[in-house]
Amino acid sequence: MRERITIQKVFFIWDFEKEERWLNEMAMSGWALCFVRLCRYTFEKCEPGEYTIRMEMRGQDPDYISFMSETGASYVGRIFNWIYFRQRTGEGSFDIFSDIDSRIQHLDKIGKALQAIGSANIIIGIANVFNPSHLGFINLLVAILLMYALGRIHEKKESLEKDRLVHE
Amino acid sequence: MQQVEELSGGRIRLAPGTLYGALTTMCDKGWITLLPVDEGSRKKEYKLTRLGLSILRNEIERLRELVHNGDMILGGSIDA
Repeated sequence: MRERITIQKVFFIWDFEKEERWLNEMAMSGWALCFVRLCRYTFEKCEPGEYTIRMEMRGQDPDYISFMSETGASYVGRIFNWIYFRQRTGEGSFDIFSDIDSRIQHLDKIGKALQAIGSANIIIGIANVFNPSHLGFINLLVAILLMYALGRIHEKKESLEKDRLVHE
Repeated sequence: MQQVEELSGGRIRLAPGTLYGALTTMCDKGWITLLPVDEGSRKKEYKLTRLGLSILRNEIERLRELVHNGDMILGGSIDA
């Protein structure tokens, strides 16, 4: 079996591009992602630059995973709705999206998920504010963090939409 | 995906997530339909529907008009 290492690292949801960049830097230095758990990334030894890593938010869709494998990308794992793929660099450049519209749609999907979890936390938070255990405040805190995330995603989306106007 | 790249002389790269989205949208709109999948094969094939064909013809016609108008305007400006 190939040599493996596991690294613990925390990324915020709005930093998914930074996370992807880090995973690719690891691949460049000879460590290919092979297993993911929440905040724990396991890598196996590979040739430096042997793989490109991409991640995407998408609901459960086995058809999509098999479609991706047909195109040469292999499924590494999933954390909640985030899917991780890797592809050998020898098979050409690997991107999941190739146009602005599908990138905007992807950000929309992330935004909607954040909104749903955020609103749930607000409702639970308000319902629990008068609860002596103070758990409600934790929910409200989480909601604030998620709203911040939503703002960051929205910023990214707006800059893409500006780009789209130029290209139209 | 390879065919798109070859056809466009490498100018257009169609990424799998984008293609999957396009196929899903065209299926929902009834422009293409999924052909029955062979046992054991995971490869999916789609067929253009009658509606899809007429949409495609209209789009080609629309593009032809655009090219024609562009040519005319360019030709006109050279004369002027």
